[in-house]
Amino acid sequence: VSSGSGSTAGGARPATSSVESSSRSLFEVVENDISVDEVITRLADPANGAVATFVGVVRNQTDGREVLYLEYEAYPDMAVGTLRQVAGEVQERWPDIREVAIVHRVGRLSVGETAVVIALSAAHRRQTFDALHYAIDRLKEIVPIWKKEVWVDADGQGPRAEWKSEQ
Amino acid sequence: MIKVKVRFFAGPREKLGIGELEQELPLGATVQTLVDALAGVYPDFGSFRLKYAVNSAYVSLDAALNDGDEVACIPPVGGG
Repeated sequence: VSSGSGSTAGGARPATSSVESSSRSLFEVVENDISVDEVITRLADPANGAVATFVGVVRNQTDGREVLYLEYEAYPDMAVGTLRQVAGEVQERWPDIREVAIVHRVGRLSVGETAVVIALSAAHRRQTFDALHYAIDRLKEIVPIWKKEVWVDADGQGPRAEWKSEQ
Repeated sequence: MIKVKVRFFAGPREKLGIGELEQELPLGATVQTLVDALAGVYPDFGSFRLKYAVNSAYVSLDAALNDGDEVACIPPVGGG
Protein backbone atom coordinates (compact mmCIF):
# COMPACT_ATOMS: atom_id res chain seq x y z
CA VAL A 1 0.00 0.00 0.00
CA SER A 2 1.44 3.32 -1.01
CA SER A 3 0.48 6.65 0.43
CA GLY A 4 -0.10 9.55 -1.92
CA SER A 5 2.49 11.72 -0.23
CA GLY A 6 5.20 9.06 -0.16
CA SER A 7 7.68 10.77 -2.42
CA THR A 8 7.35 14.06 -0.58
CA ALA A 9 7.99 12.41 2.76
CA GLY A 10 10.98 10.55 1.36
CA GLY A 11 12.55 13.72 0.08
CA ALA A 12 12.11 15.49 3.39
CA ARG A 13 14.35 13.21 5.48
CA PRO A 14 17.14 11.59 3.49
CA ALA A 15 20.00 12.82 5.66
CA THR A 16 18.86 11.15 8.86
CA SER A 17 17.62 7.82 7.55
CA SER A 18 20.96 5.98 7.45
CA VAL A 19 21.87 7.12 10.95
CA GLU A 20 18.54 5.95 12.27
CA SER A 21 18.81 2.56 10.60
CA SER A 22 22.26 1.86 11.99
CA SER A 23 21.03 2.46 15.54
CA ARG A 24 18.13 0.02 15.09
CA SER A 25 18.73 -3.67 15.47
CA LEU A 26 17.82 -5.15 12.10
CA PHE A 27 19.48 -8.56 12.43
CA GLU A 28 18.98 -10.71 15.46
CA VAL A 29 19.05 -14.26 16.78
CA VAL A 30 16.55 -14.57 19.62
CA GLU A 31 15.35 -17.23 22.03
CA ASN A 32 11.79 -16.01 22.48
CA ASP A 33 8.66 -15.63 20.34
CA ILE A 34 9.04 -13.44 17.27
CA SER A 35 6.33 -10.89 16.57
CA VAL A 36 5.95 -10.18 12.86
CA ASP A 37 4.42 -6.78 13.62
CA GLU A 38 7.35 -5.86 15.83
CA VAL A 39 9.87 -6.78 13.12
CA ILE A 40 7.94 -4.65 10.63
CA THR A 41 8.12 -1.66 12.96
CA ARG A 42 11.92 -1.84 12.72
CA LEU A 43 11.56 -0.72 9.10
CA ALA A 44 9.22 2.16 9.89
CA ASP A 45 9.83 5.03 7.54
CA PRO A 46 7.29 7.39 5.95
CA ALA A 47 9.01 6.88 2.59
CA ASN A 48 8.02 3.21 2.53
CA GLY A 49 5.21 2.32 0.17
CA ALA A 50 5.58 -1.45 0.51
CA VAL A 51 6.75 -3.85 3.17
CA ALA A 52 7.00 -7.54 2.23
CA THR A 53 7.46 -10.25 4.81
CA PHE A 54 8.39 -13.90 4.80
CA VAL A 55 7.44 -15.87 7.90
CA GLY A 56 8.96 -19.31 8.37
CA VAL A 57 6.78 -21.50 10.57
CA VAL A 58 7.31 -24.96 12.08
CA ARG A 59 5.06 -27.41 10.24
CA ASN A 60 3.68 -30.66 11.59
CA GLN A 61 5.03 -33.05 8.93
CA THR A 62 8.24 -33.70 7.04
CA ASP A 63 8.67 -36.64 4.68
CA GLY A 64 5.39 -38.08 5.97
CA ARG A 65 6.40 -38.22 9.60
CA GLU A 66 4.83 -36.37 12.45
CA VAL A 67 7.08 -33.70 13.93
CA LEU A 68 7.10 -33.35 17.70
CA TYR A 69 9.25 -30.24 17.75
CA LEU A 70 12.31 -28.63 16.16
CA GLU A 71 15.48 -27.66 17.93
CA TYR A 72 17.39 -24.76 16.35
CA GLU A 73 21.01 -24.02 17.15
CA ALA A 74 23.09 -21.05 16.01
CA TYR A 75 26.63 -19.77 15.97
CA PRO A 76 25.24 -16.46 17.14
CA ASP A 77 27.86 -13.86 16.24
CA MET A 78 28.47 -15.25 12.79
CA ALA A 79 24.75 -15.76 12.25
CA VAL A 80 24.09 -12.06 12.83
CA GLY A 81 27.01 -11.16 10.56
CA THR A 82 25.80 -13.39 7.75
CA LEU A 83 22.21 -12.12 8.11
CA ARG A 84 23.66 -8.65 7.56
CA GLN A 85 25.53 -10.03 4.53
CA VAL A 86 22.30 -11.42 3.09
CA ALA A 87 20.70 -7.99 3.45
CA GLY A 88 23.70 -6.36 1.78
CA GLU A 89 23.48 -8.73 -1.16
CA VAL A 90 19.75 -8.01 -1.46
CA GLN A 91 20.37 -4.27 -1.60
CA GLU A 92 23.17 -4.69 -4.11
CA ARG A 93 20.89 -6.66 -6.45
CA TRP A 94 17.74 -4.63 -5.84
CA PRO A 95 18.84 -1.07 -5.04
CA ASP A 96 15.26 0.04 -4.50
CA ILE A 97 15.06 -2.05 -1.32
CA ARG A 98 15.40 0.52 1.43
CA GLU A 99 15.85 -1.67 4.48
CA VAL A 100 15.95 -5.33 5.46
CA ALA A 101 15.32 -6.84 8.89
CA ILE A 102 15.80 -10.52 9.68
CA VAL A 103 15.08 -12.15 13.04
CA HIS A 104 15.68 -15.86 13.59
CA ARG A 105 14.67 -17.81 16.65
CA VAL A 106 16.70 -20.63 18.22
CA GLY A 107 15.97 -23.23 20.87
CA ARG A 108 13.04 -25.62 20.96
CA LEU A 109 10.11 -24.65 18.72
CA SER A 110 6.72 -26.33 18.57
CA VAL A 111 4.52 -26.82 15.53
CA GLY A 112 2.99 -23.50 14.48
CA GLU A 113 5.65 -21.33 16.05
CA THR A 114 7.59 -18.76 14.02
CA ALA A 115 11.22 -19.66 13.31
CA VAL A 116 12.19 -16.71 11.13
CA VAL A 117 10.83 -13.39 9.93
CA ILE A 118 12.30 -11.50 7.01
CA ALA A 119 10.87 -8.06 6.34
CA LEU A 120 11.98 -5.64 3.71
CA SER A 121 10.80 -2.25 2.63
CA ALA A 122 10.71 -0.22 -0.54
CA ALA A 123 8.97 2.80 -1.95
CA HIS A 124 7.11 0.52 -4.37
CA ARG A 125 6.20 -3.15 -4.30
CA ARG A 126 7.82 -4.17 -7.57
CA GLN A 127 11.17 -5.54 -6.36
CA THR A 128 10.12 -6.70 -2.92
CA PHE A 129 8.93 -10.20 -3.87
CA ASP A 130 12.06 -11.26 -5.76
CA ALA A 131 14.22 -9.73 -3.05
CA LEU A 132 12.38 -11.65 -0.35
CA HIS A 133 12.73 -14.91 -2.26
CA TYR A 134 16.46 -14.33 -2.63
CA ALA A 135 16.83 -13.48 1.06
CA ILE A 136 15.29 -16.69 2.40
CA ASP A 137 17.16 -18.87 -0.12
CA ARG A 138 20.44 -17.20 0.74
CA LEU A 139 19.75 -17.48 4.48
CA LYS A 140 19.37 -21.22 4.06
CA GLU A 141 22.72 -21.35 2.22
CA ILE A 142 25.09 -19.34 4.38
CA VAL A 143 23.70 -18.46 7.81
CA PRO A 144 25.14 -20.78 10.49
CA ILE A 145 21.88 -21.96 12.01
CA TRP A 146 20.97 -25.63 12.28
CA LYS A 147 17.65 -27.41 12.68
CA LYS A 148 17.11 -30.72 14.39
CA GLU A 149 13.83 -32.40 13.69
CA VAL A 150 12.41 -34.63 16.40
CA TRP A 151 9.59 -37.03 15.50
CA VAL A 152 7.88 -40.27 16.46
CA ASP A 153 7.57 -43.14 13.94
CA ALA A 154 4.16 -44.31 12.74
CA ASP A 155 4.44 -47.38 14.98
CA GLY A 156 5.08 -45.17 17.99
CA GLN A 157 8.83 -45.84 18.06
CA GLY A 158 11.02 -42.93 19.04
CA PRO A 159 11.42 -40.13 19.51
CA ARG A 160 13.97 -39.98 16.73
CA ALA A 161 16.01 -36.96 15.69
CA GLU A 162 17.86 -35.76 12.61
CA TRP A 163 19.70 -32.57 11.65
CA LYS A 164 18.07 -31.21 8.49
CA SER A 165 19.59 -29.17 5.68
CA GLU A 166 18.65 -28.39 2.10
CA GLN A 167 22.32 -28.29 1.15
CA MET B 1 53.30 -22.81 18.40
CA ILE B 2 49.95 -21.10 18.17
CA LYS B 3 46.73 -21.93 19.98
CA VAL B 4 43.32 -21.70 18.33
CA LYS B 5 39.82 -22.22 19.67
CA VAL B 6 37.76 -24.73 17.70
CA ARG B 7 33.96 -24.83 17.82
CA PHE B 8 31.58 -27.60 16.77
CA PHE B 9 27.86 -27.39 16.10
CA ALA B 10 24.81 -29.55 15.46
CA GLY B 11 25.55 -33.11 14.29
CA PRO B 12 29.35 -33.05 14.70
CA ARG B 13 28.98 -31.47 18.16
CA GLU B 14 26.69 -34.30 19.20
CA LYS B 15 28.78 -37.07 17.60
CA LEU B 16 32.05 -35.80 19.09
CA GLY B 17 30.40 -35.00 22.39
CA ILE B 18 32.16 -31.65 22.56
CA GLY B 19 31.22 -28.07 21.70
CA GLU B 20 34.65 -26.47 21.73
CA LEU B 21 38.29 -27.18 22.37
CA GLU B 22 41.68 -25.52 22.21
CA GLN B 23 44.20 -26.86 19.74
CA GLU B 24 47.91 -26.16 19.54
CA LEU B 25 49.34 -25.94 16.03
CA PRO B 26 52.74 -25.15 14.56
CA LEU B 27 53.53 -21.66 13.33
CA GLY B 28 52.40 -21.31 9.73
CA ALA B 29 49.43 -23.64 10.27
CA THR B 30 46.46 -23.43 7.96
CA VAL B 31 42.90 -24.68 8.35
CA GLN B 32 44.05 -27.88 6.63
CA THR B 33 46.70 -28.35 9.35
CA LEU B 34 43.95 -28.11 11.95
CA VAL B 35 41.69 -30.51 10.04
CA ASP B 36 44.50 -33.09 9.91
CA ALA B 37 45.15 -32.69 13.63
CA LEU B 38 41.46 -33.12 14.49
CA ALA B 39 41.17 -36.17 12.24
CA GLY B 40 44.04 -37.70 14.18
CA VAL B 41 42.20 -37.26 17.48
CA TYR B 42 38.63 -37.96 16.35
CA PRO B 43 38.19 -40.93 13.98
CA ASP B 44 34.69 -39.66 13.04
CA PHE B 45 35.99 -36.27 11.95
CA GLY B 46 36.65 -37.27 8.35
CA SER B 47 33.04 -38.35 7.87
CA PHE B 48 31.63 -34.86 8.48
CA ARG B 49 30.70 -32.54 5.63
CA LEU B 50 32.15 -29.28 6.89
CA LYS B 51 32.90 -25.74 5.88
CA TYR B 52 35.18 -23.62 8.00
CA ALA B 53 35.00 -20.11 9.37
CA VAL B 54 37.81 -18.20 11.04
CA ASN B 55 36.69 -15.41 13.35
CA SER B 56 33.16 -15.65 11.89
CA ALA B 57 34.09 -15.47 8.20
CA TYR B 58 34.00 -18.44 5.81
CA VAL B 59 37.49 -19.41 4.63
CA SER B 60 39.08 -22.07 2.43
CA LEU B 61 41.32 -24.86 3.70
CA ASP B 62 44.49 -22.98 2.80
CA ALA B 63 43.64 -19.99 5.03
CA ALA B 64 46.42 -19.20 7.50
CA LEU B 65 45.71 -19.43 11.22
CA ASN B 66 47.01 -17.08 13.87
CA ASP B 67 47.31 -17.38 17.62
CA GLY B 68 43.95 -16.75 19.29
CA ASP B 69 41.81 -17.40 16.19
CA GLU B 70 38.41 -18.97 16.60
CA VAL B 71 37.77 -21.68 14.01
CA ALA B 72 34.19 -22.88 13.53
CA CYS B 73 33.49 -26.25 11.91
CA ILE B 74 30.24 -25.64 10.05
CA PRO B 75 28.11 -28.59 8.92
CA PRO B 76 25.40 -28.00 6.27
CA VAL B 77 23.22 -25.19 7.61
CA GLY B 78 19.46 -25.46 7.89
CA GLY B 79 17.94 -22.22 9.10
CA GLY B 80 14.57 -20.87 8.07
